[in-house]
Amino acid sequence: MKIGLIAMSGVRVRTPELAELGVSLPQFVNRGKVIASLPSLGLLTVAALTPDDVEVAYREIQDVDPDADLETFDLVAISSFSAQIDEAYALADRYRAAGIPVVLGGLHVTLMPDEAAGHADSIVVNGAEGAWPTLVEDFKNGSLKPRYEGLRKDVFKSPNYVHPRFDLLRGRPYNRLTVQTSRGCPLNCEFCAASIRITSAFQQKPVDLVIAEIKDALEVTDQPFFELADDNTFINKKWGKEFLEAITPLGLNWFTETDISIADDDELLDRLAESGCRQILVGFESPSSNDLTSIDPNNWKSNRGDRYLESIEKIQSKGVTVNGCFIVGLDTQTPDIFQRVKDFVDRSQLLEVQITVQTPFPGTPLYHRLHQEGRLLQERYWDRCTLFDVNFQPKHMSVEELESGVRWLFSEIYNEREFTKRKRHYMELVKARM
Amino acid sequence: MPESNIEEEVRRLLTDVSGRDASTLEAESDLVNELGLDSLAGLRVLAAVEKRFDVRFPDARLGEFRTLQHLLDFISAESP
Repeated sequence: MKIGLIAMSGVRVRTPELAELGVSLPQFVNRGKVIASLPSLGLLTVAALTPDDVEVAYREIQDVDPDADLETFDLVAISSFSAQIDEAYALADRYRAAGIPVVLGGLHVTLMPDEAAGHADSIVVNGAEGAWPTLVEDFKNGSLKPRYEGLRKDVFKSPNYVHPRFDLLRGRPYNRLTVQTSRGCPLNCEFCAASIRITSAFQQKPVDLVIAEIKDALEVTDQPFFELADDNTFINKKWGKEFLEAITPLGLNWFTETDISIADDDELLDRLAESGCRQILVGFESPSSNDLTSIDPNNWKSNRGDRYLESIEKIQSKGVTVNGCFIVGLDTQTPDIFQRVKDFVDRSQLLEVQITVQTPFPGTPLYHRLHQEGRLLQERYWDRCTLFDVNFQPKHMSVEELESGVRWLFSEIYNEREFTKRKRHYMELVKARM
Repeated sequence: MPESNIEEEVRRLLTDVSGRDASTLEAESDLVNELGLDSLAGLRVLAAVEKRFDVRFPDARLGEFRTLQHLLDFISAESP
């Protein structure tokens, strides 16, 4: 028996003016390429959960020629985010029309299970742990059920934990490989559509398991740059220090996402710099505390907002660059937000910046609130959940003001001149530490 | 500094930054492809060369130094 695992991937923009602008801006293109080329850790985990007597094949959507005959499998499993879900459904429909059963899973399927069930013989909600082995056994026995519930906790504990099948990536070109050290994030931001939606609480993988995975992944690459597939790696500072002590001797370059509280811990920052961490991505969301009110239930980010600049300076002075993320279209923001983000970026000397539009991903608290307030522009807009397209009525500006403001901000921040200024700043930071 | 020593030193810097042996790297080989340098690592190479040889790459041309030969030519032209 052979199961085909197909990952939907890539960055998409629907608004034509923004798509046209984006492809001409160097730093936007660079990050887009990185994201588009990351392998699907979820499906490598599914592969590892598959019994040994079943063959698995890992494919990415660009491997599937839409004009050629479909590759034949006994069962196909497709994982997708919201922006690519219609493409995933179309592929699932093709396979089912060809008589090959399809399983759908991933974040979107977890949040919109009834919709997904219309395009699949079976769906998996939450993570695959606790669901996939049973699903495969049922399929073998001819008793596949329409829905399986994966675990929302204890996914890194025995017997649920499995080591992702990095060997399936052998021979495929990747700039970066991904390893996950945690699922979820206790900040619980209203807009977040990441792994928090498939867990009941923050879950941390033991350090020895993370290091074993990295060593395994190193076997299949000669370009060892790692991206931790976490939402907030350094929530637990004690774990963080143990992890940094363990990863440092491996001599890697790596990247992760965390929150700004990392700047509070000098020992952690020093270890981070020594460990080969080249960049951390931090969700600042907006430049000042007032804008951040109610983003998270405890106003954690709002309480930090006034110290953002000094925290960035402190982190970058250690030689670890910060990729700062900002969301435009928050309910607290007025049309001056675009200029304020630009001014903040200039002052902060962030090496990289990600500007995204507030996006009500289906199933998130933000989606439910905007739906209740009648502010969603369409009932169904999943292909526009790109983080760059506007799907709701902003509170203090028009849709057109938000769209044109985003285009202005893109052209101000991602142009060659600004990109070069950031590169020079990074080089000076490196030289200062040599 | 003699040219052979400059080349040896640049190869050492490339090895340090990339984590791969650059001692036998072809002078015209693309550093990104051959040494797997990502964009940040590429900038660290340029920063290391600037510091070691007391030169400064023009900001507008940072993306042009893509081979060992490019680096050596620039150093020999700019070294004090």
